[in-house]
Amino acid sequence: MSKANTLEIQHLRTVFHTRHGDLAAVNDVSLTVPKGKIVGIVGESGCGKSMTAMSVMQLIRKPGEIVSGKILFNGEDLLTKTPREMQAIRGDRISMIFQEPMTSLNPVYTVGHQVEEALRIHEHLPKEELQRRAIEIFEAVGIPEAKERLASYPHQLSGGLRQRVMIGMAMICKPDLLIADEPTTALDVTIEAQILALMKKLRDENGTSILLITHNMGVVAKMCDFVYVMYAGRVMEQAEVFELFRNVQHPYTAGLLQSIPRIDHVVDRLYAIPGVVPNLLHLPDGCSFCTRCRYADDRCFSTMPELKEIAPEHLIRCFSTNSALAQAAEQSEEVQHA
Amino acid sequence: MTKKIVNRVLVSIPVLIGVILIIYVMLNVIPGNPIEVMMAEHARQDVIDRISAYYGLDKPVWEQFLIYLNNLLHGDLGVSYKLNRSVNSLIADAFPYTLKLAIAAALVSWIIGIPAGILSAIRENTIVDRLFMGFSLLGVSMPVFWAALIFQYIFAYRLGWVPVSGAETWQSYILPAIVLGWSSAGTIARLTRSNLLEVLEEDYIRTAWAKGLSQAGVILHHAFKNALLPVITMMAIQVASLLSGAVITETVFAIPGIGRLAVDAITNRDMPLLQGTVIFTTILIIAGNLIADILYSVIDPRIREK
Repeated sequence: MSKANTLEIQHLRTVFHTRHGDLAAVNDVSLTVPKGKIVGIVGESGCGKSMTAMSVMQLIRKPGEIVSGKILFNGEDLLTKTPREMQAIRGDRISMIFQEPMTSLNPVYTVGHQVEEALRIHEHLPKEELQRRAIEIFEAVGIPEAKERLASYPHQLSGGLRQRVMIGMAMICKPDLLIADEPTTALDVTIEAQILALMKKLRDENGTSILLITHNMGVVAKMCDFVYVMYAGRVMEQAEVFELFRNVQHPYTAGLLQSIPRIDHVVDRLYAIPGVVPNLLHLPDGCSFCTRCRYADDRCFSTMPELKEIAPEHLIRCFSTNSALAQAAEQSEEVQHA
Repeated sequence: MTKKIVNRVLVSIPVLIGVILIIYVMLNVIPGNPIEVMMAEHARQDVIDRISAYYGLDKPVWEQFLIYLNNLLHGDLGVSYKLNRSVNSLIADAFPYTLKLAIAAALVSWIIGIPAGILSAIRENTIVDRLFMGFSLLGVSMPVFWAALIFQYIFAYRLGWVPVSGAETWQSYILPAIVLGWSSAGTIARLTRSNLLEVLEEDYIRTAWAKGLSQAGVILHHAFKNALLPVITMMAIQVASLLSGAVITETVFAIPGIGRLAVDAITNRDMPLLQGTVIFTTILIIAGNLIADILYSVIDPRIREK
């Protein structure tokens, strides 16, 4: 493990024990966030991207459980830490922001109190110093009238401001890793652009590594250095971001890219990947995507393909390679001509 | 904030007047002259008439009501027919007993109910949870008079730890406070548990965990305050009803409080005393709700602004 990586997840498996059997929300996922980089996890709802993040934070609630794997953070395995040690890391070295800025702040405390609290837990500072740092971080995340805003309650702020508060709260201890779980999904596009720009700015200024979870390929293109595409708890494709968009290989990723509506093309019907995400309790024997994949053959239905490198640092979990790409490209042509 | 409280107090006034009117009408539609009922069968009619006139019962009902209302405005609840003492002084004598019992019972209820609710929520579906919820179900469902008698038998008669009844020493309040407090504690514990479980699912609780707070910090600082609102309503209603006199408990334990006073008034058809106790308890309940409303605003900034 090199020190250049802030986070290195190795063969992580997080399982939910349900009445109908064990359900692997995260299945043998390996992922690396190099220092100072923004790494994206993309996928549909229920693909395990949030559960991967919650596993890193070790906030998986029963009946969920991390059953195997390693989560190396700055070289140390978080899974061997005691709950108390994890508490000291959470919010200090690793912090997290969530999808819903509207409901992610406690309605009965002022935002100033909540931001200062994040700092107070980890650093014992006098009250004036806490307040000074809170004002400083509010200014850094672009909250106007920072000092006055400390006394505001969450319901008095707009969604964009609340997400800025959340980011401020997450960044106040200058963490090494920021996990952002769909941070802009609930915001409108202009605010989304501002929040994304803010995260990039904070990364550039503090060298914070960011694990960005999203289902939005546009956000990936704008933000990420490296991307992991997840499906049904597994990584299906991983590549450096330009490589991925230029040389998409996995039929699932191709489908995702094809699903983005384009303003300069007139179509009758927007493209969607046929079928639905399989029930994690009843996954097909072979590749978990086989039931929705137009290129699937007998082998796909019987054997789960391993991740294999098809270009430098570009891995896919698929038997077919270039054929899939060619056909996917052909298909998108068809859509364009339609 | 002050303006809000003043408004809220002003709104209570018509409620109070309405309640007084209803009570007065209800008690006066009961047929029969209360003096006649109280006197022996062969009392002379001129004596009955004279006593009725003394209490103003010979006047038309609407005039009696206006006189009563006028006296009430001057803080005078009238004179008891049976005891020939002012209702004010009777209530003043009885209230300290009820107050002591209410405070003791409320303390038992909160000190047991709230921690039991919190623990049950944290240890949801474990033995601890089942045990606490079982006890609270028992407290809620046991009839008070039955529990009182069983407790008296075991702890006073058999074990001799506390007096059977009366209100002479502080020890006499232990049993009635436990009997009353247990049943309120049951309600409080169940309400605390269910609200806390609901709040623990909220997004801001996840945020609190992600900040690196301890379990105690998450639950006591972030979840409890949000779960408290409905519990406070219940606490205010319970205290108000405890202060209005626990009729059965006071009777079983022979505590001369407001509840006993009301029971005696009903038995003796002592209308001024009954009206007095009912109006007094109405004021307490209105005040209880008022305090709950104010506490809401103190806790939740969103309510404060409305």
